Amino acid sequence: MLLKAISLSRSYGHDSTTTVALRDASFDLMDGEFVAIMGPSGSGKSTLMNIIGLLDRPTSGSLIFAGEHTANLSPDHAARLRNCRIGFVFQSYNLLGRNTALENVELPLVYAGVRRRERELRAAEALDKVGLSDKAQRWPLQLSGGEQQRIAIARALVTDPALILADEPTGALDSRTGNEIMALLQHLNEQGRTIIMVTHDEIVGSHASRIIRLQDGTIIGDQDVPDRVLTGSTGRKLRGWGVTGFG
Amino acid sequence: MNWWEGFRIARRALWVNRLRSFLTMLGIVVGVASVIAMVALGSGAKAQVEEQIRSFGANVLVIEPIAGQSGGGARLGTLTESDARGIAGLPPVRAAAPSVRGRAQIVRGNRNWSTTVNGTTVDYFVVRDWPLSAGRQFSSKEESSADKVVLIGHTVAQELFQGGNPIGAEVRILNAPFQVIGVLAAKGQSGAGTNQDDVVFVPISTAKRRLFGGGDDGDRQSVAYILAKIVSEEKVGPAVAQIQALLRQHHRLGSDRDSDFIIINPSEAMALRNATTTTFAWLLASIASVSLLVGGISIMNIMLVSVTERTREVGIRLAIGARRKDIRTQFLMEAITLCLLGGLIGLVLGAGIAIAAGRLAGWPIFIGLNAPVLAIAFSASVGLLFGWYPASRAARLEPMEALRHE
Ligand SMILES: Nc1ncnc2c1ncn2[C@@H]1O[C@H](COP(=O)(O)OP(=O)(O)O)[C@@H](O)[C@H]1O
Ligand SMILES: [Mg+2]
Repeated sequence: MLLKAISLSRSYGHDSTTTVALRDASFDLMDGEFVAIMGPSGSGKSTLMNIIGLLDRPTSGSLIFAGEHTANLSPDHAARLRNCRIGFVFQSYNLLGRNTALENVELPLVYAGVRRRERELRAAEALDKVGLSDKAQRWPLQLSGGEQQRIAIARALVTDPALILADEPTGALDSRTGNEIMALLQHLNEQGRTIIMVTHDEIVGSHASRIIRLQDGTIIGDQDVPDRVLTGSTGRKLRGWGVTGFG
Repeated sequence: MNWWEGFRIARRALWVNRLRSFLTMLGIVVGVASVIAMVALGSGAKAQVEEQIRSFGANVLVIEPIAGQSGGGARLGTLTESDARGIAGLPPVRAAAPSVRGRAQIVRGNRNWSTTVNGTTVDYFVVRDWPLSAGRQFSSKEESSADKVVLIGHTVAQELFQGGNPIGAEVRILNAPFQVIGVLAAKGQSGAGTNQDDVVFVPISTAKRRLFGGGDDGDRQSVAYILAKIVSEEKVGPAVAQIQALLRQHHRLGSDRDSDFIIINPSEAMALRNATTTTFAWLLASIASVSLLVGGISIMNIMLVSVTERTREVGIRLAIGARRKDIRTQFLMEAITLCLLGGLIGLVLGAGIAIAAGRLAGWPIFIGLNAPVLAIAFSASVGLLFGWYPASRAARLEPMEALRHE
């Protein structure tokens, strides 16, 4: 088991103005799963995601990550786990605009203390996996949204983490480009990486193998997807969009 | 993340906002420039004093009569050759030389030159650490029999002989023929700005009997001044007291009477004369501290702005694994790089100002290896001091809060 959430709650604000963003969320996550967290806007999806990603702490409840209790994790230890065990993909890409594509992908390795030469090699390799080797020296603003998100995925992959967290990874993309990103995530999942993805889009969610549904901060459903949409090389059910040449 | 990675990030961030970076470092530039100019002037003045003292002779006391004290207003006053012998016999005194002095025309062929004629003994050159560049010293026979031999200064040699060999040549002083037996090594300017090489020396006996000789026997004994060389700097104080006591006893001065002589320590006088440059150096020091303070505050201000502007960047870095100290290092390096750059510009500017001030005001300037070391030390510590708070603030940001920042 990669992760165990026990009765996670998170509220914001003080006494009178308290918002409960997450209430008693419990679930287990196995290695190799592809989970979509779904629900309407404001239902607490990002809140849950941030707690799982060790970017935030629950107000109550506990999270066991890779066998480790995270309640008393020091900030530095949490940073270390984020660095080498978790890869983040955000809706707004969150690339550093002053760094080239390659430098952005290198960044986690900088904080992992990897030497420059090896860093560049591994970053180039990660860029190759997302099919953007030729864009290594571009600035983020010179790239399309889909390309920027693939750079972000390469950055999430570069430390070879067990878990990838993607918060609305297709939220800012048109459906065609969004599908390419989904195909990429599925491909990574097929290679054994555990993926948790937040989305409010049913079609996007149907690429996952399991869907956890949230409403007003409470888990209202948690089930496997029977008619999963597969787009990868082993895809059984291609929906007509082109599979780009990665992998 | 190490400091070098921090520097790489800082370099880029500063370059993106280059105008802002430049304006921010102006305070540091002025501050460091003042420090450099101050040190250049200060050490120049110090070096000059040392050079003057060295050129006059280290640990030398000058004893002069106070004219008119012993009645009659005699031209030479009260000091005598036997006073000089007495002083030379004191334990802290290495050597003492009595001297008389006058101005005279020196003629060689059709050239003539007006200069100072000093009558003294061989000890004079021991006191002043003044070697010959050619020829020989007075012999004791020449001293005792008042022979007409002369040692000439570097300038006199140039004026009268123009590169020719003066040794053995004849010159006329006050119409008497003198043989040149030696040329003194060049000494350069004195502390008072006079040319020390524009001088000739004859034995004191010769000066008195053949050049400036007075009538009576009292005048024959008296001297214009006595130079005394003290064995070491620490012994100068005791030596002054002993000479004082000795001369008062020689001159039979009761405790109710003032001394009829004065003991001067030229090193002290020379150090005093450099007070002007010292004052200027202090002025620069205050400009430096104010500018460094103002510069530091503007660095802190801009760094706080920079941290706020880049809160989201901090969030991203934290999310992908930066530790708090990595974030602090990054912003601290940015502040230090900014300051070091300002320090470097300040170093060049300060050296330029010092050199210009030296040229215009004629002050001595010394720019040594301590200048770059000081520039780096001052600017790096300003960066560290004033960058610490903004950098710590960046390091304290919570990852999620920072990521939500627009
Ligand atoms: N930092 C915060 N401070 C106050 N309220 C917050 C904060 N973050 C989220 N919330 C609130 O918590 C609820 C859940 O938010 P979020 O997890 O972002 O929802 P989702 O990602 O599903 O759209 C919302 O009502 C939101 O306003
Ligand atoms: Mg959200």
